[in-house]
Amino acid sequence: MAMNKGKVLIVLLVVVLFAFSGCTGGGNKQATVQKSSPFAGGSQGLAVSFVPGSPTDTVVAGENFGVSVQLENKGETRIEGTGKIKITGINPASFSNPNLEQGYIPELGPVQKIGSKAVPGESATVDFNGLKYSGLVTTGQFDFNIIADVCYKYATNAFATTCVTENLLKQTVGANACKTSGAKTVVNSGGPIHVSSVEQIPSGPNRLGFKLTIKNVGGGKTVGFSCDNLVPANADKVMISSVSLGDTLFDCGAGADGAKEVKLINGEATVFCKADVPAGTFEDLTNINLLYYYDQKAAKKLTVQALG
Amino acid sequence: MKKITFAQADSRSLRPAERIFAWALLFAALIAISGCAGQQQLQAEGFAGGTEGLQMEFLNNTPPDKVFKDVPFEIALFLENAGEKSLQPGEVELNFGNAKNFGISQAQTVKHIPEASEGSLDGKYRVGNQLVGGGKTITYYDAKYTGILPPTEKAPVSFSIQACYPYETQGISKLCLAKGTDVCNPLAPREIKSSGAPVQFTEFNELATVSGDEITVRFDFKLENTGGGQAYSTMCEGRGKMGVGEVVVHSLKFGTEDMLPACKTVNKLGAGDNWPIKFDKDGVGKGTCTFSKKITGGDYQDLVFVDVVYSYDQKIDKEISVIPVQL
Repeated sequence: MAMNKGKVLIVLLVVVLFAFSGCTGGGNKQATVQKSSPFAGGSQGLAVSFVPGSPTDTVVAGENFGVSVQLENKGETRIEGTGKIKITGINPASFSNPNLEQGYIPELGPVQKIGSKAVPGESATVDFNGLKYSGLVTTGQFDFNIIADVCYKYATNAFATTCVTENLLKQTVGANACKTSGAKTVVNSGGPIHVSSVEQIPSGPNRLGFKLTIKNVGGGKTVGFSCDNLVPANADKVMISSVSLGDTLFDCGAGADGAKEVKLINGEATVFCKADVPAGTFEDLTNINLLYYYDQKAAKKLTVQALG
Repeated sequence: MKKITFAQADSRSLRPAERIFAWALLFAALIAISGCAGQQQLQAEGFAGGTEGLQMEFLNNTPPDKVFKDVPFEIALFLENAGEKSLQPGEVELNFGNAKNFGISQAQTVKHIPEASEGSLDGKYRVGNQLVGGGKTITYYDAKYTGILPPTEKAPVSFSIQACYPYETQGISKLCLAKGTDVCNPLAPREIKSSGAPVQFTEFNELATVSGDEITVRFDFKLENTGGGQAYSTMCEGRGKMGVGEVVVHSLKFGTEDMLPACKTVNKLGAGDNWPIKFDKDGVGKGTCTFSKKITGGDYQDLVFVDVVYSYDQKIDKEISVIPVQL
């Protein structure tokens, strides 16, 4: 009898718990615009690291060793195989002139958001073999910084909430009225360059403007529009491929090819884009696409020890 | 014979013979392992260091503080190689100063040591964390004061033994060829390691400028005479007024690349000329070099090795009192 009472109490407790969890979600009306992000997000593109033990922390002068670089796609753009990976920081002539450059990156699938879960992106290892310190070290040990330097093509896709009304210059009031000017919510796909803020600035009854802030949030830097023949003038540049609200394309001061180059100063740039929007009262998402080549490095201390 | 595995062995059940066999096997394994470990001695600590070449001192009471005129006595000079360059048989020239007054024979006035039978006076070196001292030798002189008696016993007479020997100092530092500072900083202060010797590398500096893919590096190094004697850029036999207070840059490599020809050109020297570094009145000498390189493969740093060679001249003095022999 006592046991039956206990079981009933447990069942009742569970039912009450479920009931309360149902209550907490109530009272909020579904927003017209889906506010949850379609992206897994994140501030990395390609994660670069040395495979543990390759190389070891210490190598002996005159003995062969290899370097293995681990690449993992931690962002949401597929890496198509363009790019470059090289080992720098050491004088190739002192390490027996091995081949320290590979002119492509393996294809690596991106992170994928499935439901509320993020499925990790693909990984690969790139090996560099045949290194051997051939310098004059006959006594003691000396430290070098060995660098894995990776350049790759990447993209960022961002969505910003946008408010359109019959007259953008007049702010409507009401419980469901959206704001025609001011800061907007923005979500970014996983990558090292983000649209960090979007400010809606109307400039006419039907003329909509945005002030976009683009920011380098990864640990590397943009290198222009190619991984070959790096041109200092193109360093820190990002391409704005398009800014669109439905079928409406925004003008950000694009060049002949329709894309706009921006140069990041201290990791940031501000761009103004504008367009005439169709009449109406609605909220929607403005889509911003960025394209860039990104350079990422990993460093490791390498000690070369003389063989006595 | 019954097979035993350590996994299966139960020490309580091993018979005495089996126990002895197991211990012998373990002992043999330990010897084998220690042997393997000894095959690869890694010189983790680098140069042994030190600021001298040869250390010289008279052995206790040889010579004594007081001698009788015309009575033979012995002089024993102890020499130890306190630096890292080995001295081969005959390389050290010893000159007995005031030899005539001390009755030193012609054969002993100028000596070349160590004797061939003794082998070389090895330089000191490191093995792991242990420092192995340099080679030692003792050389003897048969002496007898035959000169003019000083006015009193309290007025000492003196002699000296001058040593001259070839020596070398190795210096190792780093050069940074970089447009940025991710790999290394071209302008960062630099350490230079110096081998044990009476001339020491004391400073190494780099200045780099970048133009496109080309980097121009200027570096300079300082040397200091720390041994208390005099360095010569000539050999011992030829030393005199020429080459005094100088050393010669014998080798200069950046990684595996010989930079000496380029440095000689920068210093307006021909390929066959020596590159001397002269010490100033404070005993400090300075060498400078400039070169340019394209860094298309990326920034890097590498070791720079500098060797200077010289003859080193130093002296040890001794005062003794002479007592007249009462007839």
